[in-house]
Amino acid sequence: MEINPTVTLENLGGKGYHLNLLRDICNVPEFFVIRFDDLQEIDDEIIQNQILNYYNENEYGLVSVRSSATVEDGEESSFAGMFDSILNVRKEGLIPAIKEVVDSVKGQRVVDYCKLKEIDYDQVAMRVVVQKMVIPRVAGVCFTKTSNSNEKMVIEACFGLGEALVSGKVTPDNYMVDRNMLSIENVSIGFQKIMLKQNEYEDVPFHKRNAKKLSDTEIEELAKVSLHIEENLSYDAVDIEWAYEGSKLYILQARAFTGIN
Amino acid sequence: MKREFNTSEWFIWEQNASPMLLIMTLEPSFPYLRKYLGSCFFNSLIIFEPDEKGNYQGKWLFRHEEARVLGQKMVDMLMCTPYRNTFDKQIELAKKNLIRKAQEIEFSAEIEKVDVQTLVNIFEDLYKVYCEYYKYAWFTESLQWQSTHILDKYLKENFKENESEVLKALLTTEYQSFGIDILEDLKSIKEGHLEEISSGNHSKELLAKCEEHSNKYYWKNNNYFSTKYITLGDVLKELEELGEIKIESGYDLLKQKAEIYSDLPAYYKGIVDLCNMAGIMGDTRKATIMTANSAFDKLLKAMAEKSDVSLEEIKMLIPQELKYFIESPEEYKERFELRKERFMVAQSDFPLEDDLIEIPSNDEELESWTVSPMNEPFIVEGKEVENVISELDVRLNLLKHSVGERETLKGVATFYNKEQPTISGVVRVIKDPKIEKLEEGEILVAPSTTPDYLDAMNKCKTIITDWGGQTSHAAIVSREMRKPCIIGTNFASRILKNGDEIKIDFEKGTIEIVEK
Repeated sequence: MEINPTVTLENLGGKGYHLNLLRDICNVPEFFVIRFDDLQEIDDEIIQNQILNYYNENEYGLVSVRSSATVEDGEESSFAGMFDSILNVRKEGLIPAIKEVVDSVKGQRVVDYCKLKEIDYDQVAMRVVVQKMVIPRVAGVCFTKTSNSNEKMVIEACFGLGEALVSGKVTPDNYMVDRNMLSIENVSIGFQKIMLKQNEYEDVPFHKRNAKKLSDTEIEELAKVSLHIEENLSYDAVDIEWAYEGSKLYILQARAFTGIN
Repeated sequence: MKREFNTSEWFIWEQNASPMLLIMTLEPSFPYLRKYLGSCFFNSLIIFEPDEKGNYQGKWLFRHEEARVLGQKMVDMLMCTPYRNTFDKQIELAKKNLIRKAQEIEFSAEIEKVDVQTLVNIFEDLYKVYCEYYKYAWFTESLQWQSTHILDKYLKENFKENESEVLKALLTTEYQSFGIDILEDLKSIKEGHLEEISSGNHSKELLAKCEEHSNKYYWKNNNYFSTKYITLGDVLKELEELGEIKIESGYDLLKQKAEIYSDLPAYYKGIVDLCNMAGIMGDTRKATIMTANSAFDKLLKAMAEKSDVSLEEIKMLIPQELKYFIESPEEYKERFELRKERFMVAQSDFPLEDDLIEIPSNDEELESWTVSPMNEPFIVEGKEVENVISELDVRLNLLKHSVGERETLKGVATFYNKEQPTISGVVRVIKDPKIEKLEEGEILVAPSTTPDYLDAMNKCKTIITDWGGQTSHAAIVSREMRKPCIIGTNFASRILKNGDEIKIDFEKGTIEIVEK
């Protein structure tokens, strides 16, 4: 086992490697990567203590625990949702959460997906990313191109954690932005009644249910940062998960956008 | 784009108003009134936008018919003497409480010194007392309309020749409006000091009298838009400009009233009393609310200064928002700009958005499930108002178009069996249940239901009404009888005809005509 191993795709896994790249070009919540040499290592108490010590020394607090498989986040296949992600983990839950994430690689759906995408299952190795949780006011996704247009980018935003959006539980705001002019072309507001806070859904206060989630300045900032990421990662288009904590923008994830022709 | 509202159905109150001062009256017309009377307004929509001169104008819309249905409940309640007596005492007490509390704030020197959180707390305390009063004061319009409507109908049948004269006499009371009090006060000052006023050479005595007047009526130029404290100088100016005043004595009318009144049947005597009561209530309400608004404005000014926004901006908020605003004022920066363009606040006795109707998925919960009424206002800002109005139009028929053009009928299901989410059947429209009858298994369609409808409601397969909210007769009885029911379709009784075959989808609340 090694914490924050030398930076290679093999050592950090797809997600970890990307976050590491992102860290240099935008604002990413603090994280560390664990590389297991053998999946059984997580049951070893010495190794567990090493992880907990690192966590304590760096004052991580509330974290998310995510998989970072060596084949995930590729340009060809996204492995989206294949591995477990666990949010809002505190110190006492850290080790069980890591275990759960590590175990998800053994799941049948991963085996099936590999078969479908003609990936050698035995080559899929597991790294784990532990990242400080952002408590977002607004969060969402941004696609720097759309499946219909190479000139437009799309931002979707909802109150609270962006997971609510992915799960389809809320209708997000949808902003269409011109890539060249960075002008906001269209705003459609999604009526939002509930938002995901920590692990639970809460009511959105009545005065915000029909409110526009991001200000024009924030939309512009997010568009700029997203294009900057796209350029630096040298992808055709990127799919970005972002969050505003107060007025500070965090990029949570960026990967190649697989939906364009 | 300006939209024209259907004025034949909607009552529109239109005046310069600030959202804060006007929307204060919304809360008491929903949860407070619902709790007190068991029924409340069904739909209220308030739209703010600048008028041609750029002044912010509020348009308050509610349906005449709905206000009258509510008014009938108020008439029923107040015709019962013990309830009437209690009501009179309660409103008087609530009024005194409000005025006392407002004046405490008005004359307190501490307000400028406290922090913004304390200001909000003081504001919220005062607002609670305000709502406690205004829930009674909301009886004014509905009661006035319905009682006058009943009286008018009776007079038309019995006083064919001089109906309007008789009505005028019956609506006259000995009560003198505060407006007349103010004029009389000014008149008496002017009469005692005519020369001084025209020469501009003011004696101490005159100034003392003016000061007394301004202290007593400092709130008199207030409205739902802004407040202005009347100063000594204002009073002097008014005295200069004060022309001849003729205050018409109502003596002759009162004499005429006494004669007609003594011959009226007992029920209509009661109705005349209620008409009079509503008129007086409206007048005292104005004086009371103007006093309260002075105190609210004083608090708002202090809050605006401490939060670094203008008074105009802070008055773009609605009262329930203040606590959120002081937590994060920066979030409102853009929202104020959007609101300056257009701002809509709506409240309804049933959810305005489909998302708010959560139908439980398991049968046990469904047994006791009801659509919960909206307890909080629904806010929309800027360009989005246009979209929301178009959506609401389907449900509320806000905009002008004839009934014939309408294809979708939509309402809210208050009760249905989840295993039978759609029902088909034959329509029977019943407007007068004493005459029209229904065959077993037909679908009952009515403007709204009353106890006279019980037989039809019992025999029918499903109930559909035009109007009503969660506390409406149809909604309550349908749950008790476990009959599927859709309320608030607005047009069903006018579009559907006897014998039409329709299909109702309870999950969506839609009604489709299968065969005419």
